[in-house]
Amino acid sequence: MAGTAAAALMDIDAAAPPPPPPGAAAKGKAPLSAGGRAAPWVEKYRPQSLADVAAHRDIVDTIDRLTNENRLPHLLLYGPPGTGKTSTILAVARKLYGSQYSNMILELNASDERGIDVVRQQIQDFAGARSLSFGARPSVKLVLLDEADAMTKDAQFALRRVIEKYTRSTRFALICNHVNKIIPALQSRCTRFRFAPLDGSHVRERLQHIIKSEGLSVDDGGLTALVRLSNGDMRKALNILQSTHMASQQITEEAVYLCTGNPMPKDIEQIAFWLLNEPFSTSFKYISDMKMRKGLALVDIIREVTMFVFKIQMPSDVRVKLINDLADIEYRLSFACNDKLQLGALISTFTDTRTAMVAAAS
Amino acid sequence: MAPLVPMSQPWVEKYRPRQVKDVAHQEEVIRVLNNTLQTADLPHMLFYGPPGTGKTTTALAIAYQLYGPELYKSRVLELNASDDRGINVVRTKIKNFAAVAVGTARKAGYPCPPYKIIILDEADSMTEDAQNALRRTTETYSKVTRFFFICNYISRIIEPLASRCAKFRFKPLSEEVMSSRIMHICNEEGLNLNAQAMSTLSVISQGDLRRAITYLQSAARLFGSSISSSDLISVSGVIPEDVVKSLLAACRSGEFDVANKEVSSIIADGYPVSQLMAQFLDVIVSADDIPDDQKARICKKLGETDKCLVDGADEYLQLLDVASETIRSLFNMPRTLVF
Repeated sequence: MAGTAAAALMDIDAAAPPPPPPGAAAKGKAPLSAGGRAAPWVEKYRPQSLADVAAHRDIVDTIDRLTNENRLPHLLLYGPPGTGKTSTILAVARKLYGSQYSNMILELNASDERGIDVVRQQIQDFAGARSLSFGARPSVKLVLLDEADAMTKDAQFALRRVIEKYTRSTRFALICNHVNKIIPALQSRCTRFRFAPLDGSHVRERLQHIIKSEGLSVDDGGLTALVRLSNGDMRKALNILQSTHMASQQITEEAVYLCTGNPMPKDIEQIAFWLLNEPFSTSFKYISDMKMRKGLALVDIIREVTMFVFKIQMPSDVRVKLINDLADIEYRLSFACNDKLQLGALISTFTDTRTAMVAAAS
Repeated sequence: MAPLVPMSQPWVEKYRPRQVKDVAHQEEVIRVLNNTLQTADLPHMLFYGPPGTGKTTTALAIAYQLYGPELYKSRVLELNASDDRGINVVRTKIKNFAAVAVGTARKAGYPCPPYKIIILDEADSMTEDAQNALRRTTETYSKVTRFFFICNYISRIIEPLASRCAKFRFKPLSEEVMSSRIMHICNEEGLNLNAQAMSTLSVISQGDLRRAITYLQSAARLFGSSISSSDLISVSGVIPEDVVKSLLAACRSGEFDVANKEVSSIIADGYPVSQLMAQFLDVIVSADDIPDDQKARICKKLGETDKCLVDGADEYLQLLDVASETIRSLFNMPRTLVF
């Protein structure tokens, strides 16, 4: 039992970077990670304090105020990956505990045990232990359950009782991508914060900061491409930036797309033109050649062409049918269907669309 | 008859490149990785693309170049689809390997950066639970361990995991790239391959170099050192063109019984129907006398049938369905009957 707790604490030590000196935190600078250049940029530039978190000012300000007033509730942070959920809660913990960080936090995630035994033993043992207090009043401890949507239902039900029992001494922070996988009984005991995909301007601003820190050469087209491909996921944006930088010193739109393998917007326009205007066999040959030459995956082409479809004038019922067919083809591709056969299906659906548009016009 | 060519080793392994720069025709990926090898500053990697395009070769070559043959064994963990892929592997094997800090051992001539590498080959066959469990592991141990994921279809990798990696797409190989590699192997093995056979090999392997080399080795084993187009076709499982064309001719007759007889004959001969679908598509697309709206109907059915076959549907029924729809399309019959 003691060994288990010790192991958990050692995991925490391994998991969390050492807290920065109070002065550094106060200045709001991102300290360099141990290992310097060896760390991926997504770790090197993870926000260390609440002031550093790139977006969601309203959420961060609310949690910050609650923390200052010692009225931190149980938290449920949810939303897509790369939007700052884990960074926010780690920053809160650093602010609350400072040098006592490793003693006051129990951090668990989906790659640890997530069944009911974890709740019965590990969490209860941690929550129930009396905490030494050096301040004017006892501090609450924090149990951080990252990727909580992977917990079994039984574990979640058991957790509900634990939360009630130890509310006085412990706060629970649940982090997940899909809030619907958290049982309602748990949701109702937490204050929920949704982390929406980051706004493009926040991604751009953060990227510019990192670009300056790393001394990179990025032009406007390159920056726009990074923001667009990230889809509001800061981690993805950083990964793309780092891998593009390794490929070429100049980060341009073309360099970014070459590195990620996503189709260039102009290529998508060309493909859409072929789909809507060329004979079946010509369209098939042109698109097959471009796929081969530029290494494009059909599934990426379909996703981008779908976006393009919204810009084209066509009757609603024709558009509905087209989108439905595109969704079906994308679904088939996710089951390892043959790219060539699905390309045939793609051209078929656009051929039918053309016929319908001509019929509607006359 | 004793084989003319000694069967010491599969040629796919014998001729696998050991250096990143030798991997054929993936210039963007190679440029990135060569830069990486200069600095040894490596993010988590996700290699994806069709089979036989150098993904595993590249991952192994990186590991060899970073650590050298001696340190490789202790610094690199390889797992693939033939190993266990469930969540227990992530909890124990992967996590235990990932968590251990690296020693300071170095070998002269190799960078030996201060982290280990875990190569997860065919990562798209991992269970979703196992992938979920990996999310935090990749983040927690990123200082001492880098993960290389290798897969064919990126959409089967869960997005939270994919977003933690630098992605590299491996393109299908073009004919001239395949040709130069195949010619190198032919010279080494003393084989004689003419231009027509080379062209056939490129077509039937569809940019998959592993498949091309395997066909070449099979053909050499069965037919000796002079290899022809028909030799390659007979070992590859590609369906003879006249079979595909006779199916289309049967559909053109407009008679269900004629088409059914042809379908039964194809099934009895044991041709793989998914292969037939791809070749039938080629014939339909390139037919000059079929109007586009009819091509559209037939190709839509082929796309749907592809999914049914992937799901395990009966080959005879699916092929018969395609043949029936082809007849209906060619004769502009209504899509559905009203009873």
